[in-house]
Amino acid sequence: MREFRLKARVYFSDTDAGGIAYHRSYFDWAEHGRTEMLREAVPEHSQSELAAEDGILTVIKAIEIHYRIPAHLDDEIEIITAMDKVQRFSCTIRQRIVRGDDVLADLNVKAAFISKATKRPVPIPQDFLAAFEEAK
Amino acid sequence: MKEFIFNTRAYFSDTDAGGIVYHASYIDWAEHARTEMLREMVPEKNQTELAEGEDGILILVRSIRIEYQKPGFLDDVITVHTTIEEMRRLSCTAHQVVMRDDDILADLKVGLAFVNASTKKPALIPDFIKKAFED
Repeated sequence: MREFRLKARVYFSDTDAGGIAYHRSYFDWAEHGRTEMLREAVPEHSQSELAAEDGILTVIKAIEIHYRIPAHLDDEIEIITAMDKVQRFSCTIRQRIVRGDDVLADLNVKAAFISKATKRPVPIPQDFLAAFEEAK
Repeated sequence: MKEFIFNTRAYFSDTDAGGIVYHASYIDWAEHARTEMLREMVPEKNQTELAEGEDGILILVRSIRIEYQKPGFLDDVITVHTTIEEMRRLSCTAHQVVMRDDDILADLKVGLAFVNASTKKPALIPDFIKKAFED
């Protein structure tokens, strides 16, 4: 399975009064990781073009996240993203947030494509499907 | 166990360029609902006071499983229904349902752990919290 790695840093905006990264921040980091993976996999078709030209939105159907070790201010982290399962209407992505050798959190994300107009599911567009199959 | 209801609204800050509520906003609403539930059920100490002193505790999110069923939109009135499903010695699980009128928008299971605020080691759920939730 091909892994996509994105580096990030923990800023004040990611932390809370408990002195650690706030649990929502991992959702944001994971989204950034998936977006950059998608940009690399399908460079000719960005998410804004997909919405404007094809009227298709990418949406999240489900996320399961386990928090293992807290991240702290100034930490350099990496978001590791890999395509797991690819189906006609949805795909499953595995992600890990790591700091060096430590796994801080792992996520299972189910994503799908919907019509912007009807908000109903649509099959994964052909170029995305091909790139996802290749990335598996 | 008693259900706690929290109302909010989908603001611009909750939405994204897709024209719908951004998926992480549900995580914020769920946190706000759990906090208000704790404030109502355990009025004697807020979360800042709970963290103070040698035996101070923090409540950490250990896991979340969220299923998105329908998109939320700008201006929607949102209701978060929260119940504590399992109460263990060191952790508990909250079940939360985010709704717009009769529509379920998202369903969450949130695993919460209690830790000592200074050592960050697991801590027993204080009796007064346990009791408040069991009543």
